[in-house]
Amino acid sequence: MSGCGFWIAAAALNAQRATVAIIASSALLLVFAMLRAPRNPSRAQYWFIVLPMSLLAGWLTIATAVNALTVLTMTSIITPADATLAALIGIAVTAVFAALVALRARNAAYLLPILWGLAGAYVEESQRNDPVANGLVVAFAVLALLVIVIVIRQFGARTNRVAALQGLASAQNTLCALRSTVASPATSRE
Amino acid sequence: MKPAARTALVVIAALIAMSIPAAQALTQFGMSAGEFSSGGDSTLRVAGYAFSIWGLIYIGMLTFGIYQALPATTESATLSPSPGHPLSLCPAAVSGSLPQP
Repeated sequence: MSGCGFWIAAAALNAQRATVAIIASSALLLVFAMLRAPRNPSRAQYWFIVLPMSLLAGWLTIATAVNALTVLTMTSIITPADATLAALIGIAVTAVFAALVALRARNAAYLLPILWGLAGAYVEESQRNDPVANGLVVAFAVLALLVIVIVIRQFGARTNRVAALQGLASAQNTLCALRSTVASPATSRE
Repeated sequence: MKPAARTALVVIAALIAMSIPAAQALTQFGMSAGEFSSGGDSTLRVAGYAFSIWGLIYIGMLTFGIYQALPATTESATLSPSPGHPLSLCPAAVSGSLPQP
């Protein structure tokens, strides 16, 4: 585990490929953990474990794409001629991956840092590369819509659970009333 | 009963995640994260303010570490699979994935 803190050292030493390996493996570990986590944590578990780790996982997902594109550019694998296409591919892969993970984990919080990162990239790219800026807008729109869908679904599921519990309580009350009627027929006739 | 090993892992990981970048910033060891990424950000650049999200993420990691360390915290199904659950590794794993530019 102590080896996991090497990203800063790798960056400090300009160990380019190592930075990608570290950040990508960290993101994948978190996503893996998120997908394995139970769907109905307690309130405390949600606020103290699920939410912080979801935010971290989301940020690392988009940071992995940015870091990978940075290193591929540094190593001249991406040339200035390919830069726009490479950026668009990076954005698309990130958006599709994030959408699949969020849908599978039913986790809208995971998408929030990704939206934040896309917005941050748009601020820079809108001043210098329109196709990339447009790609960022599309990715942002799709993932924002997904956040709304997941939240509505969760709210619906919660409402259904509450309705089911209320129905159960109502049935229980009726049963109790019936029991008391059966237990004291004379009293009820009087 | 929550496993002591996992509690220790989570706490240590959170501490590592926050102390390594602090140590790098204080000692100015090698290139900073910003200097590192500025060499290749011509393909996709992210506005500097976006990295302010790390403040929130650090608070989250700290909260997670403290929550896990509290004696009152019971075993959590969210973490139960094993002491080596990926979540315990992550805060440390990302101590480096720090603000790029």
